[in-house]
Amino acid sequence: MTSPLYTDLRKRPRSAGRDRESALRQAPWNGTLGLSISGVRLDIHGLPLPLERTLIKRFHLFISPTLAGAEADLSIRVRPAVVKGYLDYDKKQSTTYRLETRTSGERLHVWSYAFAGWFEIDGKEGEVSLCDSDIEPPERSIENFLRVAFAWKASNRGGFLFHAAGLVRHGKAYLFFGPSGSGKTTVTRLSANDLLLNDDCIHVTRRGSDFRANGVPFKGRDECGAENAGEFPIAGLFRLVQSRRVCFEPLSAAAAVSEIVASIPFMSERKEGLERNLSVAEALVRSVPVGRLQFRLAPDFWNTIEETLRG
Amino acid sequence: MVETSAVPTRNPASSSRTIDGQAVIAVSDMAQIHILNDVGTRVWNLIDGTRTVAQITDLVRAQLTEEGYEGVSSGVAADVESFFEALAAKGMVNLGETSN
Repeated sequence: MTSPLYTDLRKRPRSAGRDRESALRQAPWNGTLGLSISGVRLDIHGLPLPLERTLIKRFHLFISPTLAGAEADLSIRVRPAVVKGYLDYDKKQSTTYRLETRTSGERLHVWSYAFAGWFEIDGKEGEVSLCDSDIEPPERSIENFLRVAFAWKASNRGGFLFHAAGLVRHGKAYLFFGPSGSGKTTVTRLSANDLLLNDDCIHVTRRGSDFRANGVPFKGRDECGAENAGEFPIAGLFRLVQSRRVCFEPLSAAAAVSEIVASIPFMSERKEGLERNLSVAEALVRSVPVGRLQFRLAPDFWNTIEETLRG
Repeated sequence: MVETSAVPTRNPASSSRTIDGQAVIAVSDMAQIHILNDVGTRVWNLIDGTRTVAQITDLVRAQLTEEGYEGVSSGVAADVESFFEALAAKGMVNLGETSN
């Protein structure tokens, strides 16, 4: 399965590669990191200390102390891999990041070029092995493993990880979604005066019929991404379509559910994941406006959105 | 060509939900989501692993007639059979067994 979440896999300079190799080989691997992402707690143990420092900086908005006795949603052990790599990297397909998943009993196995791991879907244990690799830096490997694990833990709590860009205006979140290339990052670039929640994924949480958009530490590109850890009520969901004109077309509930579920990554591996997604997506579309937004390379789509929501 | 004595079964990896009269169907690991129209939704919701294609066709015909749709009889069987062909081609149903 090819992941919809792209990451940069440029050939790294030799010196950077050698620095990372030596960092990964430094012993001991006893660094610890705790993350709290809108109430979902992920603890990571066994990090090489330089990687721990890198991740603390990368995830700084979401760091939470690992408390003895406090139960995490998932506790992940990191180990050095005994192999040099997992998935083969095809330079011809270098713009598409490959991430594979497979269920085995109650575990979901996840692997890519430079890491392989598993976590218990309903349990609290997980493990990931990191390689020395020139293809993917270890902080990216950890982040991509955490995306998948977080998607399931968020679902266990009734929400979902949504492949969307989130912008906050006047205290409300506007979520822009669609397949890769539909314009999510473009929309964020056209909205420089608005608060960027994330350019790639949003944690949608639910309390009854109240849905909120939350920031997550996962990035679409290294220069964008996790700008905010806050929680905001959702003003609307906008399926992006690049066009010469600007207009908003509401979607039927069934069409909206279909579009939303198609943008919930990593959950289609098991039937129960799809069932949860269909259920929560239906509740969401009954609660907030969802439609197709045709837009062009200009920020005037905001006028259309505001007129639509006012009406 | 669909055997009308076939007993269709849903792909066990499929999940569906009927929303405002339209069935939304997703199949695990197939990265596909389908929305069915009115007749398709009726057919999908009648697949229970015991009814044959012919029985489902009759039930759909009866539903549409009861709801006042005109000219129902002539096209329903062909529509339902072609619909099952499409569902089978997409891996959403299995038409393997026939009822004796």
